[in-house]
Amino acid sequence: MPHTDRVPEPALDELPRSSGDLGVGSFRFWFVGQRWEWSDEVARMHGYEPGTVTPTTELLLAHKHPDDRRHVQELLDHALHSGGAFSSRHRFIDTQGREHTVLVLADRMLDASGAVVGTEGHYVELTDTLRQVRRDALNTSLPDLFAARAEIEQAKGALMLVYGVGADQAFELLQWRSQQTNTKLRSLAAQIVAEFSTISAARDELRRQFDHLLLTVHQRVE
Amino acid sequence: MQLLEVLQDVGDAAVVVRARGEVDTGTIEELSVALEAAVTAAAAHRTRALVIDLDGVTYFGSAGLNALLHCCEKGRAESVAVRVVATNAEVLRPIEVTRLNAVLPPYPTLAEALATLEDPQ
Repeated sequence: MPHTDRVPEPALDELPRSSGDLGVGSFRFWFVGQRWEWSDEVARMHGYEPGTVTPTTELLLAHKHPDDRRHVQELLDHALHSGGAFSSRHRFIDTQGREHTVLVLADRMLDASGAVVGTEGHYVELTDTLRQVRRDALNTSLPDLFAARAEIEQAKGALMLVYGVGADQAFELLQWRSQQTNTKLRSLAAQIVAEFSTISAARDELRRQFDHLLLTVHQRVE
Repeated sequence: MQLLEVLQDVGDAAVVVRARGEVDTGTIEELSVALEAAVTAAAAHRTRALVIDLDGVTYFGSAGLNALLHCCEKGRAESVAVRVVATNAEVLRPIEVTRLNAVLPPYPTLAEALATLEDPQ
């Protein structure tokens, strides 16, 4: 019997609903009452028709990956412990039993008095099959992007390092910001590169590790 | 090893609940049930006082905040004074950033929490 390692094509029902569907949705989570709000995209990622379900702690528990002890809410509870925006990978199981991996980008929600009342942010779908389909769509529908390749690649490199994501996912992040803000992707990338020097977060540890990488990398080149 | 351990101690000055370990969505039920029982015990206690000692808590998220808030409300409904003891940042920070400390200020020691009870408010 012939044996192939070919990866199966994604099933038709896994295709994005439109070529503009990048698998990005938004959410809000209020700490008191542990109340959730999902955008239509986040509902779809979980396998629900928008408007047919109310996200609750119990519902989210049903979508928890069996190997993860902690819940997505614990991830968002990060906002209770440290300030500023944060990002993290998270996986869940949709209503069809399929595993999704998402990048959760979140920031604190404050009330008028400055008290932290919750977290709001975005789910960026990183699931492989969907990603492949979307990348193909982008490659064919946006050929002019390649003219501005250098700046886009530089911005992607920065996102890959900062968020710990792959090249395709970094590209999707750029694409998402571009769509959300109605800004040309190449302009956005160029501006990100121009603003690298304005990031003043503690770099010591990063630089120390990168020094080591830079000075020893030749030993690992085959 | 147990993720969360909750013990109730009925003392002369108050009912004291001590939690040790991780308070998250997986263990919250245990804490909620214990706090519910503790409010009931405190309502029957001479002092009508409940102290929740969270010093041994190593993880504390929004599930824990809700349990505290719920306990505080139940205490108010049953005329039980509820106090919280905590010195660890893991517990203090969430209480501070959400301004829950306006309702439930954390005390550094059991003695200091009890001292506020001798002066009924």
